[in-house]
Amino acid sequence: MNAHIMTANTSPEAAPAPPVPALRVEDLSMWFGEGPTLNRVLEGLSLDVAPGEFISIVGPSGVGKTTLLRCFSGLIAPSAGSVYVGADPVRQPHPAVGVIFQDYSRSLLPWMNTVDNVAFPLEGRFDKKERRRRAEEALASVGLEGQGHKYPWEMSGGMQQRVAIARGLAYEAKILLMDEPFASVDAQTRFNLEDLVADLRRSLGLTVILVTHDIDEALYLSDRVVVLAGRPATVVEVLDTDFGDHRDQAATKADPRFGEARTNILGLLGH
Amino acid sequence: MAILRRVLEKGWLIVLLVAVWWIASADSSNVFFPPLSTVVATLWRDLGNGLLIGYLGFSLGNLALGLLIALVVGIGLGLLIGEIRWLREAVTPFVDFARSVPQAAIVPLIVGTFGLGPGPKIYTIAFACVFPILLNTIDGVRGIEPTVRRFGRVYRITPWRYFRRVVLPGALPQIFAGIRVALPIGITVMVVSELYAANRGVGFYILNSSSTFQLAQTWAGAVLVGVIGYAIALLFFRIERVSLRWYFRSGAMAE
Amino acid sequence: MSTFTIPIVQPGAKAFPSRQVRLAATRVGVVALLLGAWQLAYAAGALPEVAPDVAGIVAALAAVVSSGVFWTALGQTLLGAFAGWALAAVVGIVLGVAIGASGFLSRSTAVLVEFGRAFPMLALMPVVVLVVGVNSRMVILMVFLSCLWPILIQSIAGSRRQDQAVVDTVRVFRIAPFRRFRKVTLPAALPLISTGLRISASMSILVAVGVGVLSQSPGLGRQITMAQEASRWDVAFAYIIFAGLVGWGLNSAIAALEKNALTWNRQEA
Repeated sequence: MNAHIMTANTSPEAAPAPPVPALRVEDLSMWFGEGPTLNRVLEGLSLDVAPGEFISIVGPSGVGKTTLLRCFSGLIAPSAGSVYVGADPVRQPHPAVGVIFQDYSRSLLPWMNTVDNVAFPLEGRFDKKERRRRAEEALASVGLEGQGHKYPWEMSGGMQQRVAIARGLAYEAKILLMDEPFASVDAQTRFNLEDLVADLRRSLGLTVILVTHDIDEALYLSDRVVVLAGRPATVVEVLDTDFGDHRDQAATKADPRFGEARTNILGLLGH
Repeated sequence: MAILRRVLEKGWLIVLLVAVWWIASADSSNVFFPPLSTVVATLWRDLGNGLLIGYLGFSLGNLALGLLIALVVGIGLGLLIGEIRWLREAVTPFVDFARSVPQAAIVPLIVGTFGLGPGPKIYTIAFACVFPILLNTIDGVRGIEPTVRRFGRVYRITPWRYFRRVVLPGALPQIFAGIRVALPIGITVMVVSELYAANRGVGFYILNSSSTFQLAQTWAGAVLVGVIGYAIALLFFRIERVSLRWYFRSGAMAE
Repeated sequence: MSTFTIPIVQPGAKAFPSRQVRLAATRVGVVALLLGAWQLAYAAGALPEVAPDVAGIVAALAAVVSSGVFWTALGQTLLGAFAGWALAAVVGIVLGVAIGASGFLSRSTAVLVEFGRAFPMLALMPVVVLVVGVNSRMVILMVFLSCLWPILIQSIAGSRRQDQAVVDTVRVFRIAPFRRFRKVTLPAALPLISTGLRISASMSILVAVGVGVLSQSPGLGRQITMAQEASRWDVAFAYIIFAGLVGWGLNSAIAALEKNALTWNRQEA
């Protein structure tokens, strides 16, 4: 069952015309190989993400979530269908899009210290002083003030992921794509990072698309949860989360509606 | 105290071997194996009177220039070939073949045609040294984490900056390994090219003295070459430690 | 919606021509480019007088390969190289594994071994020639001296490199020393040892030819110098190309052997 969803702008003060979505996916399909080796991964996906929205994409391992994210980021082109960032079709990485990879330790450059790593994508756009200023600011906003001189490998996993996030912020990405960013950190750190991302989204008005296999995380952070399943993968369901704007690790997860939603999604994924 | 122990541990065998050599050869009347004391004295003398210094200058100068050429060509080509897949696949067998050509075999042709001067020697050294550097640069480039590449594309780093700030530093550890392999090759070719045809240089010193049966000089020359080679290796080790500080420290952290 | 839409961009393999064909074509193109450049340089007089043109090289290749002289010389060089290498292998592996097993010995010999590796053995040739004469023993000796060090170094390293978890396991289960050596230390050391063997195998040919060039001992090296002195560059080229082919073939064969024999060890070399 696939749903073809238009912008879900359900607020009572809704403007007459829906705003241009931050990210729009039209009928996206992805396959590899051909003939007998044809592998259809994604099929007929459509999705609109409003500016400032937090969307999670959940699904079983290997269903194609990462592939989908790669299409959003412009790293690969879909076999069919299209992706738009704002009004621009995505054919290559878009300047408004930043990616936080799961393998943070491998996406940070080990020969640069942290502040240089964060400032690096800004080279060519600003002079050295300005770059440094922005980098320091970004590091402060993720709670790493004063740690700029350290090298990535001198930091814990959680801290490295913060650096990666800071890098995206300094880059002034409007849309943050996160590919299972917290899968490789311990549970405690994960909660801190989740709250960090939630705060940043609110304070900076970012649009966030999070790919995760952790259903609790998806429900906790997002406005909507997109459930991907099947082979080839399709959008099985899109759930609104209505737990309120200000969420808390303990309280929100204790909310009975949280448990219902979780059960719902687990059911959709075949459990 | 610990340092003293380490020095002793590393040095006792060397001291022992030298002492054995010294004593065993002390009364030698064998033309081919003169006393070590004589060898050392000869070495000292010829260093002092400037003869060997001049020769060393010639030989090492050629080595330096040859290495420089090999570095520029090897790293430059290596970065390109490593990064561009179709180029690498097309060119690899030819590079492998060229590398297998015995460098000493080239020497007669080059020297025979272009003469005794420094030029042919420099080019032969460069030719011999370029392959380990080239191959290791290619390996280094290929070894760069895919995630780093993806990062470069997503954050739209320009190609020139990407090569300079991401690919080159990332491949540097492997490049250094290539240089480490190239150094003894360069030294060997440097000596061989002078053994074959020269009128200057350390190799010439060795050959000339052996053909006039002044074996003390021949050994002196060989010892000098050995010491120089070792010194260069040590120097390079130091340079590597400094340039790749981040690499060694991150490796140490990982353990 | 399960019908296909017309694809805008198609990732995945292109149908025709297949990758293999395109790769082969590119390589042929490279060869053509190189030969063409050489021929151009020849025609333009940019090459030294004695240099042959492409046709000359090809003719010489055919002539050399069909001459008995070549095969004799090849045999002599290969024999010398192999004998020296085999000797170095035996001495190097035995010594290396033994040294590596003892931390004290490893540290004591470190400087000596490093010195030996860096030392250009061919610099000793004048002395060796004077002492031993120009014969196959001399060639084998020089090859032995040159090949010993890489094998020794790798054997020491292989013997030292014991996974801590394995060491602990062996100790906990109180495995006897000799069995431990045969079943744990030696196999663990094999990948590095084989790397050393591979490196020195290619080296053995280079050294054997180099010795031939310098001392005129029978073999490929001597043929090359003779050809050069007779101003027969085309023959010299042909010999050099064949020497390269032999070395290359040897390297590929050993690498293939290594991959098959050590399938359990997928380490990045």
